[in-house]
Amino acid sequence: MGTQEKAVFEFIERVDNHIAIDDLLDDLLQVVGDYGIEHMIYTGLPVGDSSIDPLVKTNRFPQAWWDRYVERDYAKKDAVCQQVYSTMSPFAWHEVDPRFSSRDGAFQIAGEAAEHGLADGYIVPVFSRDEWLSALSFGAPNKLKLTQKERGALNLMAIYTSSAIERRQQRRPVRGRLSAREREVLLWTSAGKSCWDVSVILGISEQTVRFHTAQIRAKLNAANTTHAVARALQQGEITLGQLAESLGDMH
Amino acid sequence: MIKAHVVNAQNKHLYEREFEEFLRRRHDYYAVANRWVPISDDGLELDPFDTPEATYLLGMLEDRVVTSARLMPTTIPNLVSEEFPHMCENIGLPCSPEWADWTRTYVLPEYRGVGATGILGQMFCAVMEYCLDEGITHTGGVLQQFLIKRWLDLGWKVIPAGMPHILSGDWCLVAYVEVNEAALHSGRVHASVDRPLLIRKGTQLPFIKPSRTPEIGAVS
Repeated sequence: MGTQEKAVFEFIERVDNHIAIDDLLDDLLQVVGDYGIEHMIYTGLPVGDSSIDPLVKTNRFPQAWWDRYVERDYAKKDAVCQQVYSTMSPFAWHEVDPRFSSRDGAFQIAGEAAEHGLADGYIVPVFSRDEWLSALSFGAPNKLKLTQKERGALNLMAIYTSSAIERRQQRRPVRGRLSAREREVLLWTSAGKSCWDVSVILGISEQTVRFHTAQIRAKLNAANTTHAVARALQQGEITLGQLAESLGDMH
Repeated sequence: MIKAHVVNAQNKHLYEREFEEFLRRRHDYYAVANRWVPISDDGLELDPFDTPEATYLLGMLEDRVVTSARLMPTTIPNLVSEEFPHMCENIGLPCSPEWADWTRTYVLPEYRGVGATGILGQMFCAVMEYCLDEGITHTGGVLQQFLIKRWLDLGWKVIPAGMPHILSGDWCLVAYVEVNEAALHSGRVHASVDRPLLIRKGTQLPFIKPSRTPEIGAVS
């Protein structure tokens, strides 16, 4: 076994020893430095009109670049980000499918990224612990020439790191979970039912439904119902299966 | 919540109908719909490792098998030893009565939801529960790399046997999980499993066969 592979397996043994996420990331960036990688981010991917910013779990991208990326909402046009919606296979940024890189604005974003020291990268899509489409993306100042073995190594390190980050962040105190009734209200609302409809279905007053809706938004820190549904899915309060079922009830 | 029935060569007759229906469904999916394996004459999907040494966990909802797992000792030919021994460069090819080869974790398509609280998470807990009962210390095998994240997310310690490789278009690797009480507990918490899931009916066989002759002095 080569020294580079040995370093990877040794890193994996150390992952759970790091108490602080920053120590874990320092260690990771040290190991992947051998591949020409200098930066990394682990983030959920936004749906619809929402911003990527609240979905970021850890970020070691150059700050100036990330500020610009969020401010200009680049996630919607960034070819690398867009490709992850259609494949769970890891890929180097320069291999991104022309379907995505030929879209409006994508070329310019790649150019600006390069100016900020992110000329290339390698992205590993994963599902987060709460089943949200996410990705751990490595950034590099120069074009990457990765062998299959190195790609396998990066996949492995990305998977161990992403899970370790989530398990560490899980230990932080979380906002209150939804009650069973609140979940029910949210599912009916997401199926397009009005407060009055829901009150009839559940046999409670319309006022109570409004109260539940307000509680749901507060607990999920959501601006509206669509946002609340997205957050509830992201946090594992409801599943896509339940959502599909509630939508199915409309027919 | 599923009930995971332990099925071996001795009590298989109790599950004939369920087992066959399940093999048929799996064949429909793997062979007919996706063409991953050859279509078989009897419409059942079996491989060279479906032998009397194999133990199956059939995850049932009422009288329907919705998920499964197959476990066998790593001391006899198994999928890793026969097909992927080159993918164990980190720890060497496992060959120990306490290490179980875990294959064929399958969930019927209509029961595949997302969410850690889904059927797959329950099956993972059932496998951990069985291994703990039987004195198995490690279990695993060849699997798609995204599945090891599911194991890690359950709070399980996962040992990569080697680097991931692309197998039929998917990144796969050989990996094993450590079996212990803590893993069962954290798995249950994350998968929202609040009770033991195993059901044992009929004759049971120990996974680890008691050695017939004492090792010491056996040669002299």
